[in-house]
Amino acid sequence: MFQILLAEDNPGDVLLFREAMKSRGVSCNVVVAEDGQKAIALLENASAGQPEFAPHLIVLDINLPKYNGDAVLRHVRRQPLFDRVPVIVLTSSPSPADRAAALALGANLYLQKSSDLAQLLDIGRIVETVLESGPGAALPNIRSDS
Amino acid sequence: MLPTPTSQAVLGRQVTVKGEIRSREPLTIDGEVDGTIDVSGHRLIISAGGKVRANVKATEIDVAGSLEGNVDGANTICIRAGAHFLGDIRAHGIVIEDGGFIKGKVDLSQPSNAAKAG
Repeated sequence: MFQILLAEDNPGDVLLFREAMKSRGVSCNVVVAEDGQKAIALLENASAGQPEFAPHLIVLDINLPKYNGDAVLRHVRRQPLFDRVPVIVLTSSPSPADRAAALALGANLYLQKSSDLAQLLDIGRIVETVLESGPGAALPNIRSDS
Repeated sequence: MLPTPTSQAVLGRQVTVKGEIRSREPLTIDGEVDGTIDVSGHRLIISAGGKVRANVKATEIDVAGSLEGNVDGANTICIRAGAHFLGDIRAHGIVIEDGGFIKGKVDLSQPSNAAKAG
């Protein structure tokens, strides 16, 4: 089962993300961090050798309470364990500055949230292909098929 | 980000090319291409009216029109609102705007731009 860290403070968006995964039949465990601090704490626990949760994929909103998505992204890319874990920034921001900053900090995919429900749910299809192509190579020792 | 180019090739709106395109300068496609495109080291722009059916190599790719084919090894690719992309992407950094359509595999197993830069 794939492990996904979703850093998102909007419960509606969390629900939609879960629904998008479900609609594609993606076998995954989505752990939600409602703010940047919690996301960093989860990652630090994994780095400290307590990988109860070590994500195959990290999905970040930019505008998070406490620490924003950029701060979380910086933290992710500083940790050797997560250096190659795919990071998707999922945000409503259309700002070219935000997207340039996210890519420069190490995001692999900047995905702008759609106002259209069908397109929002279609995120599941994109995430599915990402999970199929990358994370096994990124963290070969923590992938679980159970 | 690539430096601002000193020259740029443009394939016009009324132009259709079938075959192989190799460019050693940035290329903008307003017309139609059916074949292969190699713009390695430079930026490829497929403008809103552009239609491309080709496997593409370029350092930066900006799709506002239609692209049917695979993209491999790009530094960044941006799928703009209203763009239509059918194919597989393997790139360091990918942007998909609201309203940008993409159908195919998205492979993020390459290092991100930050990791690549060290």
